[in-house]
Amino acid sequence: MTFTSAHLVALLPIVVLGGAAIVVLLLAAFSPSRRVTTGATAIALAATLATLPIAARVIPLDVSPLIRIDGAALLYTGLLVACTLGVLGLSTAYLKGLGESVGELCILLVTAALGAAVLSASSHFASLFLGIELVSVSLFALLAYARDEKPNLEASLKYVILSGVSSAFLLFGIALVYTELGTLEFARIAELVPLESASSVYIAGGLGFVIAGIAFKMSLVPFHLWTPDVYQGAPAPITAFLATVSKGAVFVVLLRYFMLADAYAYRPLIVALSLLAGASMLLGNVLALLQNNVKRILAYSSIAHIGYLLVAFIAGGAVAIESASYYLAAYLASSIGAFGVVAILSSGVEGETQTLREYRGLYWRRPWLAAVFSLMLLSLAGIPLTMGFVAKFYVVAASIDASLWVLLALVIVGSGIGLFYYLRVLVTLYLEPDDVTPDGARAAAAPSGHVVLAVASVAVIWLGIFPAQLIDVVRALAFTNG
Amino acid sequence: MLANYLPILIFVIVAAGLGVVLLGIGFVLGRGQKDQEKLSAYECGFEAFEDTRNRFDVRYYLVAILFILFDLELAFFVPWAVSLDAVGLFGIGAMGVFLALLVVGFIYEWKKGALEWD
Amino acid sequence: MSVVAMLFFIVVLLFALLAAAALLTWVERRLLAWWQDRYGPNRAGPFGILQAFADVIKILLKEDWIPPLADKPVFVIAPAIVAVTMLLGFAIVPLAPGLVIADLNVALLFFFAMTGLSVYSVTFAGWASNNNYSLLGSLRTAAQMISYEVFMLLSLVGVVILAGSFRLTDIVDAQRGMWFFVPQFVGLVVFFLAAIAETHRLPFDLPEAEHELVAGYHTEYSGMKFGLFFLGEYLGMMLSSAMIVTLFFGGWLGPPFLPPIVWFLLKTAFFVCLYLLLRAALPRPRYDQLMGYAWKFLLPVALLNIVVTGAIVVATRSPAEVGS
Repeated sequence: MTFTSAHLVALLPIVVLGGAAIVVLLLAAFSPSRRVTTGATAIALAATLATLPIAARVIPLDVSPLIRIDGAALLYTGLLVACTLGVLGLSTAYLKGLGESVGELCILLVTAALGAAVLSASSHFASLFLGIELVSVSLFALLAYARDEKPNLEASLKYVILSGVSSAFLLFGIALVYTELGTLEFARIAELVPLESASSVYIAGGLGFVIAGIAFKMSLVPFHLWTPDVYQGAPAPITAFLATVSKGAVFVVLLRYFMLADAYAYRPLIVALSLLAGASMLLGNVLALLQNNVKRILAYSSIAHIGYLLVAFIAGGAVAIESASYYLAAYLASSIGAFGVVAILSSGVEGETQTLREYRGLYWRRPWLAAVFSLMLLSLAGIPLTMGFVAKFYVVAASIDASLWVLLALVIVGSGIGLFYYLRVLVTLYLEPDDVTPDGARAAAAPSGHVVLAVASVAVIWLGIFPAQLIDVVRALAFTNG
Repeated sequence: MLANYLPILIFVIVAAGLGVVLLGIGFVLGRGQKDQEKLSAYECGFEAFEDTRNRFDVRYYLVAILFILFDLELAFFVPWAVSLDAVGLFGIGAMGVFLALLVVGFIYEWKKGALEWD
Repeated sequence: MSVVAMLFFIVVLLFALLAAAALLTWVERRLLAWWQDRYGPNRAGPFGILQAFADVIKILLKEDWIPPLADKPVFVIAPAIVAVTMLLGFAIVPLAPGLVIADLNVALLFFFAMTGLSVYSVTFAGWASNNNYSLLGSLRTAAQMISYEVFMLLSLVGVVILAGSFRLTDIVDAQRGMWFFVPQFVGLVVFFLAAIAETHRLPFDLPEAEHELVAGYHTEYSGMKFGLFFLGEYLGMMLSSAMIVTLFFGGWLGPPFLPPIVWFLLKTAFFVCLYLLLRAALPRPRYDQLMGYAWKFLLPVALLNIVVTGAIVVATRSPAEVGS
C-alpha cells in the first residue's frame, strides 16, 4: 500500500490524539501545575475536533485494511471526543475536592479517547480489539483513580476481571471466525458469513462469542451484572465516561460492521441482538425501579437505553443509521449532564453523594444543579422539547417501519416504567428539605464542571427543539459511504 | 531444521541426568543426625520473628512490570536487527518512532520515581 | 556427526565443564591470595591443586538437609535448575570451526532462554526455603537478574545488526575483518556489566551479601544442593566469558600459530580471570545504586548504541543493499 498525504490527512484526528497522549504524558511528568496539564489536554481534545472538518475533505478513504475513515467515523469520533472533553471538565471539578493529582487522569482520558477514535474508524477485527483494549485498560486505572477510596478499588477490580474475561471471549470468537473464513476484515466477513453460515458451527459460535464480548462492554442483559456495582463504586466523572464513551465506541463498531455490508442478511445475528435488546430494555427498567441510589438508577437506565439504541439499529433500512446516530447523540448528552450533576455534588464528599435521600430538596439548596438534573432526567425519560423525545420518536418510527412489533411493545412498556423512576428522582429534588444537610450541599464549586453542564443543557434543549440541525449533519456524513 | 535440535535434546537429557546424579550422590552420602534445633528455620540463632509467607515491597512488582515492557520491546528489536538490510531506511525510521514512544514512557516513569529505591 | 559421536562429545564437554568449575574454585582462591599478598590453599598436592578435589569430596559428604517447613520438591529442584541451564548454555558455544554441539540459527536467543530460566532457580529456592533471609535474597536476585537481562540482550542488538544473524558461527565469521569489540565497544561494556550482575558475582553479589542477608537465597541449603548453586555460579561465569569472547573477541579467531580451540580457551580464561580480579578489586555497591545504575544509565546507553549502530550500518552500506 502506498501511503499518500491524503491518508495522513484522513488520519489526522487519530494522529493528533496520539500525539496529545505523548505531550500530556510529558507534561504530567514535568509540570507540577494542574492548570497547565488540564489546559493542554483540553486544547488537544479541542484540536482533535478541529481536525475533523479537514479530514472530511478526503473521505471516504481506506487507510490500510485496519482503518476506514468515512463520514460516520468522523461523526462518531467527534461525538466521543466531545464527551471526553466533557468528562475532563467534570473530572477537574471533581478532583479539586479530592486533592489527587490530575496528570494521570488526563493521560488516561486521552488514551481512552484514542481508543474510541480507533474504534469509530475500525474496519477490521484487529483494530477493533486494539481499540477496545485501549479504552478498557485506560479505564482500569481511571476507575481506581482515587486510590484511597475502597469503593473505587473494588469497582476497578471488578471491571478488570470481568473485562478480561470478556476480552478473552471476544478474542476466542475472532479466532473461531478466522478459522472458518481466513480474514479479519469486516467487509469480507459480512459478505462471507451468510453464504457459509448454514454449514458452519465455527461462525455461529465465533460470532456468538464476539457478540457476548461486545455485549459485555455495552452492558447488555445478561452481560450487565458488573454495571451497577462498577458505576456505583467508580468516581462519578469516570462513571460518566464509562456510560458514554466506553459504551458508545463499542456500539459504533457494531454499527459499522452492519454498514460495511448487508450483515442483516444473517438472521441468527439479528435474532441474538433482538433478544439482548429486549432483555436489556425490560430488565434494565424493572431493576432501576428497585434502587435507592442515584448512580445505580442511572446505571440501570443506561442498560435500558442501550437496549433502545439497539432497536433503532436492528430495524435496519435507510432510517436505521440516522435514528441510531441521533439516539446515541441524545443519550451521550443527557448522560454526561446527569452524571455531571452527580459528579459536582460528590466532589470532595466522603463516599460521594449517591443516595436518593441526599438529593431530597436539592432545588432549595442548589437550584441550578437541580434544574440541570431535571432537564437531563426528562430527556432520558423522553419528554418533548428535549433531545430524548426526538430520539425515542425516531426509535418508535424505525421499529414501526420495520414491523418489529414485539420490540416496539417493549420500548413502550420500558419507557412507561422509565417515566416512573425518573419522575421519582425528579420529585425528590423538589421536596421540602429535611433537617439533615447532606454533604453534597457543601461540595466545592468548580467552574469547569458547570460549563460542561451548561453546554450539555443547551445541546439537549436546542437540538430537542430543532433536531433537523443535527439530523442534517448525520445525513450528510453517515451516508458518504458510497 | 528440526534435526538441529536433536543435539540439544540429547544435551538436555544428559545434563538433567547429571543434575539428578549429583543430587542423588549428595543425598546418599550426606547422612546426618537431625535434632529440633537443627530443624528450625535459620534466623541468626533467634526464634523466627515472623512468618515468611508475608507481604513484600511492591517495588519488586514494579520491576517485574518494567521487565515485561522492555522484554516485549526487545521482541520487536531482535527481528528488526537481523533484517535491517532488508528494511533499510524505512526500518530505521519506523524503529525510530517506536523507540521515541518508548523513551517518552521511560522518561515519564523516571520522573515519577518508578526507578527509585528509597 | 553421528549420534554416538555427538553423545561422546556431549559427555566429554560436560565433564570438562564440571572439572573446570571445580578447578576454578582453586584458581580463584590462589589468584585472590596472590593479589592480596597471601598464600591461599597450598597444602594439598602441587600448588594446592588437589584442594579443589578435596572440596568436592567434602561437599558430597556434608549432611543433605531439607528444612521441615520447606516446600520440598521445589526446594530440591531449585539448585538443579541453575546448574542444568548453565550447562545447557554451552550447547551453542562454538569452541572451534565445526566444534559446536548445536549450531542453531537462533543460538543467541537460546542463550537468553537459558539465562532467563536460571532466574527460576533463585526464585524457587528463596520461596521454597521458607526463611526470611532466603525470601529477601531471592527477591533481590530475581529483580536484579531480570533488570540486567534486558540490557544484556539490548547490548547485543548491535552485534546482531553487524553480523546479520543470530547464529554464533556466523557472528564469529563476521569478525574476520575486525573483532566486534572495536565497533561495539559500548555494547561490550554493557554486556560485561550485565553478565556480572546476571551471574551475581562480585561486585554485584548483593543477593548473597553476607553482612545483611546471611547468604541470600541459599541460606538454608547445604551439601550437594548448595554445591549445585555454587557450580551454577562458576559455570555462569565461564559461560558469559565464553559468550563475550564469541560475540566481541572473534571466538576461535587468532594468529594461526596456535589451533583455533586454544585461542578460544585462552581468551575465555582471560575473561574468567578478569571476573576474579574484579572480585579482588572492587567494593560492593548498595542495592538501590545497583538498580538505579541499571535502569538509569545502562538502559539509555544500550538504546543509544542500537540507534547509532543501526544508523551507521544503513548509511554506510551501499544504496543497492539498502531499502530494496
